[in-house]
Amino acid sequence: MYNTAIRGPLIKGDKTIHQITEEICQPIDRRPGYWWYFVFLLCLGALIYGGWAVYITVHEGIGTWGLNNSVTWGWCIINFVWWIGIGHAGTAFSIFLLVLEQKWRTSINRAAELMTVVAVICAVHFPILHIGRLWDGFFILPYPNTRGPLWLNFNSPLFWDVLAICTYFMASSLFWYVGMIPDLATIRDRTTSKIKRAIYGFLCFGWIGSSRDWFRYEKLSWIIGGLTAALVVSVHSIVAMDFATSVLPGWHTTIFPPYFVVGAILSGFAMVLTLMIIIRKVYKLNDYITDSHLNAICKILVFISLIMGTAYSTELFMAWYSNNEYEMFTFFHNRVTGEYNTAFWIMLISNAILPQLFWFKKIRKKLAIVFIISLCINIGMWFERYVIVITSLTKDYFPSNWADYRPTTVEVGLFTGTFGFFVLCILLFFKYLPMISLYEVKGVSKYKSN
Amino acid sequence: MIDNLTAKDLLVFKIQLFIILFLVLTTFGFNVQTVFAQNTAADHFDEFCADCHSIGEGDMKGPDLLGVEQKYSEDWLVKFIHSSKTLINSGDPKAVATFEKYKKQNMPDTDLSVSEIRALIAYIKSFNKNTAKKPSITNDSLDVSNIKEIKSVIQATVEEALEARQYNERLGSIEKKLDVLLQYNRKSLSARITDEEIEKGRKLFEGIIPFTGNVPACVTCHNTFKIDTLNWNPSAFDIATAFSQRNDADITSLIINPVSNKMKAVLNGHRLADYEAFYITAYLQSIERTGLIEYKKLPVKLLVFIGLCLVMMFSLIDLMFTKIIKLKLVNIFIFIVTGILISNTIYINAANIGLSQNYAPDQPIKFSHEIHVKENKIECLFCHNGPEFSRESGIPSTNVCMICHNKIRTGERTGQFEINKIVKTFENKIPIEWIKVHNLPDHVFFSHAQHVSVGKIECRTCHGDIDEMHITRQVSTLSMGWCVNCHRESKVQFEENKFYSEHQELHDDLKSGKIRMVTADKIGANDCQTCHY
Amino acid sequence: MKKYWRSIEEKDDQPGSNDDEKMDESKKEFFEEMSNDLSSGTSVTRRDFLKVWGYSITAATLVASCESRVNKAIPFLIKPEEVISGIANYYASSYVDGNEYCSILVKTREGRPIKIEGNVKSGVTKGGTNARVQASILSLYDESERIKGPLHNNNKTTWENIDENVTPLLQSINAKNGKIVILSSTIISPSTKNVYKDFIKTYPNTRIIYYDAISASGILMANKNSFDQMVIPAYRFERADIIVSFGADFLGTWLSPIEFTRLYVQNRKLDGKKNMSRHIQFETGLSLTGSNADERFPIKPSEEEIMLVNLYNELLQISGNSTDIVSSSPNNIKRLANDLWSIRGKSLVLSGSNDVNIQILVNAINVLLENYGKTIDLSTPLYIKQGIDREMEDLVRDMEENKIDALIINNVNPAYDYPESDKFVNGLANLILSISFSGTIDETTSLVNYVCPDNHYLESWNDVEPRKGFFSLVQPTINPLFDTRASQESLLKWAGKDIGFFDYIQQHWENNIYPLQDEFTSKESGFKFFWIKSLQNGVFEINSPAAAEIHHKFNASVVQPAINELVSQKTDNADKIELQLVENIGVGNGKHANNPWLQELPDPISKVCWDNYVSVSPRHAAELGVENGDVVIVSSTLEQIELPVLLQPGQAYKTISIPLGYGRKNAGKVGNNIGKNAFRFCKIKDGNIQYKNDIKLIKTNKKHLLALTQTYNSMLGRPIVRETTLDQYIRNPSSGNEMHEKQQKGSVSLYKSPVHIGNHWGLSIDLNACTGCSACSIACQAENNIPVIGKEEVRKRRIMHWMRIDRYYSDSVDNPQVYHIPIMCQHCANAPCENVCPVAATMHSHDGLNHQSYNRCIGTRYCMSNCPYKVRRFNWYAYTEAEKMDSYLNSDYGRMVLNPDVIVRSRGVAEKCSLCIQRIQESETKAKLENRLLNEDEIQPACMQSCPANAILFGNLKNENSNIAKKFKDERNYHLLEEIHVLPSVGYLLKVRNQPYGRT
Repeated sequence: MYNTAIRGPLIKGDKTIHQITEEICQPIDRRPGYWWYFVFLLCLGALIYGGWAVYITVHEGIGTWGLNNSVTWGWCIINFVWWIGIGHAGTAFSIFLLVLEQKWRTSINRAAELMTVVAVICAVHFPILHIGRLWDGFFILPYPNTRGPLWLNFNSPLFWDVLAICTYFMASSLFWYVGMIPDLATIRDRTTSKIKRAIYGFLCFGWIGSSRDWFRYEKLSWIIGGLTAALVVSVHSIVAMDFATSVLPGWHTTIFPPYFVVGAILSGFAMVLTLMIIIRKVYKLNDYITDSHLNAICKILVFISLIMGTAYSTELFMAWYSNNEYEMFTFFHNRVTGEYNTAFWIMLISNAILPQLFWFKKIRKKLAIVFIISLCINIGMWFERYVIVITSLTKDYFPSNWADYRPTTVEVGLFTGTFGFFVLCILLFFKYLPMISLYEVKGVSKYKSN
Repeated sequence: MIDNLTAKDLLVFKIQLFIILFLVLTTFGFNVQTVFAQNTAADHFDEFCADCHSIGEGDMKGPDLLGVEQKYSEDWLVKFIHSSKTLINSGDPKAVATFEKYKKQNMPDTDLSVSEIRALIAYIKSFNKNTAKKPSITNDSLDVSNIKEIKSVIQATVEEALEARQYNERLGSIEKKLDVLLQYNRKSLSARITDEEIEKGRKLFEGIIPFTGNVPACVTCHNTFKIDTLNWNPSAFDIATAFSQRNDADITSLIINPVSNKMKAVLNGHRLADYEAFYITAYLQSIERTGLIEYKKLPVKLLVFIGLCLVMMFSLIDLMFTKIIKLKLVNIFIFIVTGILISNTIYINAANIGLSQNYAPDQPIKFSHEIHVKENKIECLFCHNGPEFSRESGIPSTNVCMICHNKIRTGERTGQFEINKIVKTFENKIPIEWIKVHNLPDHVFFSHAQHVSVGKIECRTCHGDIDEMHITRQVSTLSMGWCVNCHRESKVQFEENKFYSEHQELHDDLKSGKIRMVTADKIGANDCQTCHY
Repeated sequence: MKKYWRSIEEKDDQPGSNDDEKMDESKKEFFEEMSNDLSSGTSVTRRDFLKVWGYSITAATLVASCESRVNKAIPFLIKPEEVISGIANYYASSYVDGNEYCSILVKTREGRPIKIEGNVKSGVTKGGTNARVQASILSLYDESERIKGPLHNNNKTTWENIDENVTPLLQSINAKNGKIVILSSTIISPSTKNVYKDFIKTYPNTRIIYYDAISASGILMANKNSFDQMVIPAYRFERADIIVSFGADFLGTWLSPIEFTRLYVQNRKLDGKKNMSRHIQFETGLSLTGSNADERFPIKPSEEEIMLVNLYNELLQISGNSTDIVSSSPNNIKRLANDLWSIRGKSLVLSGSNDVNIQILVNAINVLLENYGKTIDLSTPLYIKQGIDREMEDLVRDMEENKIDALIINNVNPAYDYPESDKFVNGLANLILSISFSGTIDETTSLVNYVCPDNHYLESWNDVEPRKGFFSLVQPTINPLFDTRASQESLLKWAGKDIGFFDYIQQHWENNIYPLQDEFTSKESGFKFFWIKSLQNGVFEINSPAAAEIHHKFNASVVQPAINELVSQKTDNADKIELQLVENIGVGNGKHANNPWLQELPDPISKVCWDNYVSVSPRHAAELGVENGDVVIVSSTLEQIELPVLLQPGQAYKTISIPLGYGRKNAGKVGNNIGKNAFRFCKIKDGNIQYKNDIKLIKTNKKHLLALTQTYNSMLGRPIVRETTLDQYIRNPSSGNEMHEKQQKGSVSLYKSPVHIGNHWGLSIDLNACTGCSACSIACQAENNIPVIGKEEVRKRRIMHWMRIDRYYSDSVDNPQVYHIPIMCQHCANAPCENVCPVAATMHSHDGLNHQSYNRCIGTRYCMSNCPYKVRRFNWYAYTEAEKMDSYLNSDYGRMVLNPDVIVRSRGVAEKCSLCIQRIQESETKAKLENRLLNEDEIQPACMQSCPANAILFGNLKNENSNIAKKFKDERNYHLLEEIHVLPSVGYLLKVRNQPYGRT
C-alpha cells in the first residue's frame, strides 16, 4: 500500500485490485437509483428552460436581456467567467498535483477533469450567445478572406479569449479522455453485452495493455499535461485581460490576471469539494474519497482564500492610494457601501473569511460544514464576478450614464440551462464512465506497494 | 368578376360573346385577293407615312396601319389622310377618338390626290391580304341564323340601359364586361388550339419537321431556350410577347408575308404554307405562356468535387483497411493531392460567396455597348452623365435613348425589333426595367465622381473593355479586397489637385524623395468609413 | 408592352396584372417600388400575396445559396433636369404651422424631402431650427396621422362632391343671413389673409376668429391698451444687458424661441470679448430658459404680480416719481431695480403671463426703463400670435346658443385644447355646416361634417410674414402624397374664384410686395426676377432702418388701474397648491403628438419622454409623502386627472407644473393615449386663458414608471461641466479650468502620439451658448436614420440618440444651478473602444475620426463597455421591424424619410456619432471636383447646422488658423475626462455665469 508517514494510506479498507474494479465499476453495471432519474428529469427541465432562452435570444435579439446602453455586459459575462473559473479545477488539480507528486489526487482527478470539460462547454455558450449578430460570429476567426484581406484586431483581449478558451478546451478534454483510456478498456473487458463491448472497445482505441501501450500512454499523458499546465494559467489571465485592458474604474487594474487565476482555482476547488462530498455520499465511496482527501482540499482552500483576501484588500488599497476619484467612488462608494454592498460583502465573507474556518481541524472534520462552506465559496465567487462586472458598468464616469441592471427571465434561463447541462453531463458520466481513475487508484493501493 | 353578375347580365354576356365571335370570325374569313403592283404607293408610304406609322410592326407615333382598311371606310380614310385636322375639327367621333388616343398629335396634311391616297390604302391593304385561317374553326360554333334574334335582344338591353338612371355607370360596367368577354373570347380561341398542334408548331419551329417551302427552320435565328451566348435575333418568347397584344391573324400573316428586310432575305421568296404558319402561331402562343425553356447545366464542378472526395475516401479506406495498393506511399500521395485539391476548391468557392464576377444577365433589350461605344464612338459620359459629379453613374433615362433613336429606327443586327422596344416603352410611358449588373452591397458607398473626376480613373479600369461587350458583363470581382488593393497601388492626383495642398507632410516627403508617389491608402482611402457609413 | 413575370403562377394570374396595367400611368413609376399592399383592395388579394410570398421565400433561399439576387435598375423615363440621382437638391421654404415659424432649406434626394436645415438668409431665424422644425419632415410621411382624402361625415368622398355640396350650403346660409365663422390658427400668410378677404366678399356674413392653443392675447390686449397697437413687439435680446423674465420661457416655448435664442446667445457668447448679458428669471417650474439664467428665483404663479408691482414701485421710487411702497419688497427686487435703473435703455423685462394687467405693468416698467425703441421694437412687430381669447369665448357661447350656422376650422383643434372643450363640442352639434381643413386626424376632425384635408406644408405653396417686413415663401418639395388640397384653394373655389393658390400668391406679391423693393425695376421682367430671387432665397426682407425710430406714445393712464386690480386680486395663497401649465420642447401644444421623434425627445430639464407628469418640488414631495413615479390625482373644480409625480429640483415650493400637449385621444397610432390632457385646467379670466390654476393633490397607491433618459442628476464634484463666473473670468481667463493645463502638462504617454494626415476633424462646443434645446438631437436623428424605440425601451435605458444632452444640477435642491452638456462620440485619438473590438469594426481614420463599420460589427459590445463616455448605442432589437416599434420605419411612407447616404443598421450592431461622415465626404468630394481647398465652414454636421445658438463648431484642428483651432487654444477650452488620456477631438468651452452678487 502506498503509504506515507504523515498521511497514512490513501485508500482505506485494504482492498484487492479486483475489489477496486468491482466497486468503482458498480454504478456502470447497475441500474441507477430513483434519485438518478429524478435529478435527470430535473436537469432536463432546466435544459428545456435554457433552450427556450436560447431560442428567444437568437430569434428576437439581445434586447430580451436586461442590458442597456451603460450595462452592456451582464449576467452572461458573469456566468461565463464563473464557469470558466470552475473549469479550472480539474486540470489544475491533475497538473499541479501531478507536478507536486501529490498522489492523493488519484481518486479525485477524473471527476475534476470531467468537471473542467463540461464547465468550459457551459462557459463557451455565453460569449457566443452574447454576440449581437450570431450569424456573423465567424468574423472573429482569423481566416483568409477576400476583404483585403481583412484580419482581426490582434490587440483585442476578446480575440485572445477565443483562442485561449478553444485551446484550453481542446487540451483539457484531450487530457481527460486520454486519462480514461485504460479504464475504458477495463470496462470493455468486464462487460457482457456485445454492444457495450463494441462501443467501449472503440472508445479505448483497442487498448490491450501491453507494455508498449503503457509506455506510449504515459509519454502522451506527460506531453499533454505539460502543455495544459501553461494553459491553466493563461486562460483565466486572458479572461482577466478582458477587464484589465479597459479604462473603467474597477476594471482597469494590473492585479486582475493573477487574481483571476487564483479566484478560478478557489472556485474550482470549492466545486470539486462540493461534488466529491456528494459523490462520496451517494455512491458510498468513503474508502476512496477519504476524509484525508477532503481534509487536504480544505487546507488548500485556506491558502487560496488567503490570497484572495490579499487581492481584495490590495484592490481597495490601490484605489485609496491612487486618490483617483473615480476609483475611490467605485470601490468605496459603489462596492463597499453603495447599492451593491450586499454583493460585495457576500463576496468578501464567503471567499476570504469563511474558508478561514478551515484552520480548525474540528470544522474540517465536519462534512456538513465543509459542504456548506464549499457551496458558499461557489456562490461567493459568482458574486465576485457580479461585483466586478455590474458595479463598474452601472456607475462609471458620468452620472448621467448611470443605469441599473436587472436580469430577465431569459438570462436566468440561460444560466439555469447551463446548470442543467452541467449536472446532466455529470450524471451521464456516473452512469457510463468510471468516475474514479481505476488504474491510478490501483497504483496507489495496497497491492501495488506490495 | 364573373361571379358577381346576375342571371340577366349573364344572358347579355353570352349574346355579346356571340356577336364578337361572329365579328372576329368573319374578319378572319375576309380574304380579299387583290394584288396591286404599287411601287408608287410604296414610295409614298415611305416618304409620308413611315416616320410615324408602321404596317404590322406595332404602333409608333401613330397607329399601326395593318388592317386599318377594315376599321374605317375607305372614304373616311381618304378624308382623314387628306386633312386630319379638318375631320377632327368637324367633330367626327372616330377621328376625334383616334386623335385622343395618340396623344393629340396631328397628322400632317398631305397634298396627295384622292387616287393616290386610294392606292396608298390599297398598298396598306396588301399587307393584310393573306390572313391565316384554320378552316375547321370557321363557323362551327356560331349559329348565324340567330343573329337577328340576338340583335333584337341587345337592342332591348341597350334601351333599357339608356333608360336606367345611372346611365354612365351602366355604360361603364358594360364596357368592363365587354373587356372580360373579349378575354374569354381570346381564351376560348386559344383553347381551341390543341396540344397536338402546339407540338407540331414546336417541331416546325425547331426544324424537326422541315417546312414545305424550303424555308430554314425558325430556330436557326430565334432560339426557344435560354442561351448565354448572344443572339441578335429576337427569341421565340420575344416575338410572342411582342405580338401578344394583337389578334393572331397578324402574326400568322406576318409569318407568311414578312415585312422586315431580314426576314425577307432569309425567306428569299419562299413562303410558308398557311397551316404551317398556323402551327407556328399556336406554338408561339404557348411559348408566351410558358416562357423559354431553360436547360439546366450539368454541375461539372460539383461532380468533380464529389469525385475527388470519393477518391480521397477510398484511398484512406485502402490505406487503413483493405490495403489493395501495397505501396503505402501511393495511397498517401493520392490522399494528400486530393486533400489539397478539395481544400482549394472549397477555399475558392467560399471566397466567391457574395461575389459575382462575370455576371452578365439577359437584359430586357439587347443593348450592345460594342455597337454604341466602339462602332458609333459615343462617349461613355454622353449617356451615363452621373460619374463626373455624382456618386452614381446613372443609367440613362429613356429620353436619352430617344435622342438618337427618334430617328434611328433600324439596327444593323437586330433590325427594328429591339429599337421598337425602346420606342414603345417611351410612348407607353413605362420605364425600362434593366437588370443591374454591378451590384454593390447596401453597406458600401461608392462614389463615381471621386474615382472618375477626381482620381482620373478610366472607366475601363473597373468596367473592363466595355466597348467590346455586346452583353454587359461585370469584369471585376467588386470584392473589398479588390477595392482595397487598388487603393494601395493607385496614385492619387496629389500635386494636380489643390484639395491636397493641405497634406503638408506628404508633400514634403514627396519633395525629399522619401516616397515616390502618394497612393490612395496613404490619405485614408482604406479607412472603414470611407466606404461604410 | 413586353411583360416580365416571375413565376408561372403570376403569369397565369391575369386579373392582377391587368389591373396593374389599368393603373394610372403616371402613378405607375411610383408604385413599382412600393409594396403591393399599398394599392389596397385593387390588385393583389391575400392569396396572390401568399403565392408571391411563398415563391419569393423559396426563390430567396435557393438563390441566396448559390447566386446573388437579381436587382433591377429602373431609370427615369424622362429625367427631370434638376434631379440627378445621388445628388441632393435644396429648396428654400418656410416651416409654418399656426404660430410657429422658421425659414428653412429642404434637402431632397431623388425627389423626396429627407431633411430640414435652417436658412441663414432669413433675418428672423438666421439659420436656426428647433426640434419641432427638424421633426416636421417625419410628419409629411406620417401615414397613420394624415388624412388621405376628403371626408364627408367621416366617410371617404371626392373633392368634386365636397365642392358640389359645400358651395350651395354656404350660399344658402349666406342667403338667409346666417353666420359663417372661420376659426383659424393665427394666419401669418398675407396671401391667405387675402383669400379670407375674398371669401368674405362672397359671403359677407363671415367672421374670422384666430385661436391659439397657447395664446398671447394678454400681450396683444395690453399693447392695445398701452400703445393702441394690438401687436406683439419685437424683442431685441442682443441689445439688452440685463434680461429679466417673469415666467417667459423665451428660449424654449415662448413666442418665437428660435429667433430669441439666436439673439439671446449673441450677447452671451464670449468670443474674444469679456462681457455678457445678465439673465434673471422668476418662474414657477424649472424651464429651459430658467435653467440658463444666471440667477433664478422660484416663485409661485400668484407671486408674479406682486413682484412686478414691487419692481415697478421700486423703479418709480428710484426715478423719484413716487415714494409710496405698496408692500415691502424682498432684497433681490430692490437690488434688481437699482441695477436696471443704472443701465436704462439696455435692459429687457418680460413676462410670460397671459394676464392683460400684468402685461400692462410690464409695459410700464419697460417704458420707465426707456427700453422702447431700444430693446423693444414696436415698429416691426411679431405676427405669429394674433388670437384674442375673448373672441373665441364669444364664439363658443354663440355656438352653444345656436347663433352660428357654419364653422370652418383651419389648423386648430379646440375639441382637444380649448379649456372648455365640452362646450365647443356641444356647440359643434348645433351647426348646419362644419368644415375642417386639418390635414391630420385630430379630436375635432372626427366631429365635423366635412374634412377637407390641407396639404402638408412641404407639399404646399404659401407665403408668410412672421414679422412686419420680413416675408418668406413656402414652396412645395414633393407632389401631394395623398388626395389633399390646399385650404386656400378650397376657400377660393367655394368663393367662386377659379384660380390656383400659386397664381394667387404670385398676383398678391406682384401687387403688394414687389412695389416694396427697388432692386428689380424692369417693367417686363422685374417681377419675374424678383420672384425667382425671393423663391431662391426663401425670404424677402425690407430694409427700412428708419422704421425702427418710430416712437409710440405710451398711455400711462392704464397703469394705475391695472396695478389696483392686481393688488385687489391678491389673496392669501400660502396654503394652496398652485398649478402651472407649461409646454415642452417636443410635443408642445400637442399638435405634433403623433411624431415619434418628438415623443422620444427627452425633455431638456426633466429628461422624461413619452409621458407627461406632475413636477413637484422635492421639499413639497417629502411633505406629501410622494416619490418619483407615484401616481397622484390632480383635481380642480372642473377637471380631475391622474398623473405620475416627478421630483423636480427648482420647482417652486407648493406648486406643480404639468406639461400640456399630452393625452391626445385621436392623434394617430403613435400619439394616442400618451399622458393626460391638462388643457382643461386652464381657466379663463377676464377673457384671457390663464395657464395656471389652484388645485388639490391626492396621493394614490399606484405607481407609474416614467421613461427617463437620465436618473442621476449630480456631477458629484466631477469636472464634467466646468464653470466660472464672469468676474473671475475677467480676472483670470482660465479660471475654473486650472486643471486643464495641469492635465495637458502631465499627459505623457509611452505610446506614439497619434498622427493625422491632412485634416484632423474636431468639434468645439460652447457651453455658454448651448441652451440645451435639443434641436441637435432631432437633427442628428433625422440625418443618421436613428430609430425610435418606444417608451418601454427608453425605460430600459436604451435610447438610441447619438447626440444626447446631459443635464446636471448643483447647489440646493430647491433652486439648483443647471448645466446642459451635449455629448456625442468624442472621437478620441487614443480611443478605448478601438483596441478592444475583436473584429476591428471600429478603427481610427487618418483624419482623426473614430470609424465604426456596421457591416463588420458582430455585437460583442466590448466597445460600449469600454467607452468612458458611453456614447455608443446598440441595436438591441431589429428596430426597423414592426414587432418592436410600430411607428414609421415599418411603413413604406415612413421609410421615405430615411437618408439614403446613411445605412440603416441591423439588429445586433453597435453605432455611434460619425461626425456626419457622409457630409464630410460629400464636401470633400465637392472640393476635389472643384480643385480647391475645403472652405472653413463648408462641412457642417447636422447638429451644428441645426443649432439655433451656434454653440457647435466643426472644423479642422490641424489648420492652426481655423476657428476651431482658435477655440481649442482658448483658455476656456477643456476636454471631457482629460485625465484618462484618451485625447478626445471634441472640446468644450467652459460655462461662464454672470453672477456679480455671487450665487443667490
